[in-house]
Amino acid sequence: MLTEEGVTLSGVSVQRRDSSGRLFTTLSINELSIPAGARIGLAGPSGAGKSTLLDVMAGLLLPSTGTVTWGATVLSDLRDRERAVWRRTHVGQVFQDFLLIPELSILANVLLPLSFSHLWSSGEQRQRALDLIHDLGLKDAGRRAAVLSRGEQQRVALARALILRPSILLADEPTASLDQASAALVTDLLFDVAGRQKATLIIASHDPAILSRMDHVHHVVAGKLQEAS
Amino acid sequence: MNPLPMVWADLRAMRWSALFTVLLIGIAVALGVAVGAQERAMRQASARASDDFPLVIGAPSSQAQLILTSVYLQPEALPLINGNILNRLAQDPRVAGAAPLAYGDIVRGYPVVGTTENFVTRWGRLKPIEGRLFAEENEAVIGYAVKLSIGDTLTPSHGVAGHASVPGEVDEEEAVHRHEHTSLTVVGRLPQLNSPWDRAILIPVESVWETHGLGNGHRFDGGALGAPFDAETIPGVPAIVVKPAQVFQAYQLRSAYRQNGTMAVFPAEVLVQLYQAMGNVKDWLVFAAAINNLVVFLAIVLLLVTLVGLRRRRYAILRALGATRSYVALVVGLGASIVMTTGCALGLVLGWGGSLLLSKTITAQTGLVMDPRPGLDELGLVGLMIGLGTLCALFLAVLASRGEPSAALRS
Repeated sequence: MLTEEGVTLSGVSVQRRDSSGRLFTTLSINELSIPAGARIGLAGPSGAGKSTLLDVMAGLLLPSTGTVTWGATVLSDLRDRERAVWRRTHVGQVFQDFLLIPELSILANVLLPLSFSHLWSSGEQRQRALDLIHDLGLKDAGRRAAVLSRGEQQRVALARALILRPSILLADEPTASLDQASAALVTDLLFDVAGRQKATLIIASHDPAILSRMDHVHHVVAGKLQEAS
Repeated sequence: MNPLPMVWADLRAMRWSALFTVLLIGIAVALGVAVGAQERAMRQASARASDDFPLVIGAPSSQAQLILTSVYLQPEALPLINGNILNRLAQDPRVAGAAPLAYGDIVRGYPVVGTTENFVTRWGRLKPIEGRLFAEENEAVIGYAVKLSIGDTLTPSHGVAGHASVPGEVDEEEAVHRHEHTSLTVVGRLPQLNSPWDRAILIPVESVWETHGLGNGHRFDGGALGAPFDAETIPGVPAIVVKPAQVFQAYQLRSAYRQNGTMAVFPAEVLVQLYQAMGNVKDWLVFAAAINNLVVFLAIVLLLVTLVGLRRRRYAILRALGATRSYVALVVGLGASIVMTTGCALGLVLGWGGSLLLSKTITAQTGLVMDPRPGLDELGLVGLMIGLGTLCALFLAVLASRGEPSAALRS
């Protein structure tokens, strides 16, 4: 699915309570606009709030204050069900720890998002899943996710993120578990897909090889944005 | 949407706990089903067996023992009543039919019962499915399940012998107690009655008397079998089955034969008393089974709540990938329902199968054929378990789909 609209975060803050019940702010962004089709990097030390920012942009986490707007869609205005449907149809997300279902095969994991809206996947959808699995260098789509290496799991997670042709690609350390060759393969695929689908690509990473290919990199430090390049 | 891939993955992930849960539910349900089905089958079978015994007259002793011996063929030495009563009953207008039951002998583990033709035919209701009725003192009619053939010759042994023998098999102990001077020929086989009488060998009562050196009850040899018995001294019998002409006359007859050295009982009435006692026992058993089910059910709910709590992150993954709360709820609910329903189905099969096995054992020991089936009570129990299981599944589903996925993913 293509979108011509980017994301705008206005006055966004995420607050949590510590063990003593005291509120503290984990993310605070006054204004951030990312145009449609842009390739944006998020850099910064671990625990700085990059993953939280990705979750907020994906609608997985509603901010305590402020708004996240994709085109004309204000995520906090959507009901839970609408937000789930929006996320499914617009966002492909690769998580830092993959979040695969270990008992399902590679193919079933990749096709899983389809089962949220379809009774059965079509032949075309299955073929697309198999093509993605093949393009990412994975063999034997019938293997269970539980027996895969971390690198393989990362690639399955990427294939799953791409299966519904999302217009927004969010990736959290997508090459952290990969060797150099696999990392290059995954990065190429991410950029290739984003380019072909004119998708907005936002990657949180420590990898200079990825960050150097971005249009823009934002540094996140202690939950706040600091312009870097 | 299609929750099945995730349901399958969930069941696979928790296969051991799911299997354990299914077994727990299965055993709990099986107990309830078995108790109910077995008790009902026992009641029906015992009632059916007593149908042919409207009124039984014997010497004053234990009513239960008289019924056990005459209806269920669990022979014990009963005191005898005066054989003249047979003639008196034969002439009584309140009596449609009366027949002696004389026990004491055995052939290959099968009880030999001396009686008259009217009881063999159950007052005209039965006809042999093979051969014919006995017409001579040395002829025998066998029950449906007796492993003998028409034309076989038999020599009865004294009754105490062969108690432990398997019916149908030659027993060495029987051989030493044989009435060698008596030879009987099988001339007919009765239809199946599904009662202990399917294993009985029926011979003329005259033959039993003669075998035990008491004459044959008739003044002359070679006359017609059965009443009237016109010998000077008519031998006694342990029991007489009476078919009253009218229902109200049954009460008159019972009253008349409750005195002067006799005891008259309605087997059905004794059985009702027995059922009342059995019913109380059953009520307690059902109550115990219900408590057992409740405890097992609560344990399972706790187990599932714990499992769902542990799998909170897994369901958050689905939410993160774009699944709605209803999808997650469906996955959890369907999974829990499958476990509950499988457990209940297993319980139904185990309970029913257990009842069938127990019935076969009882049939092998007593000849009382039972047909245990889950009735409305048991199916209601299963339905209740499935209903509670569904409610529990819904509760779990709500529990699983609560909260922000982001928080669960980071937990």
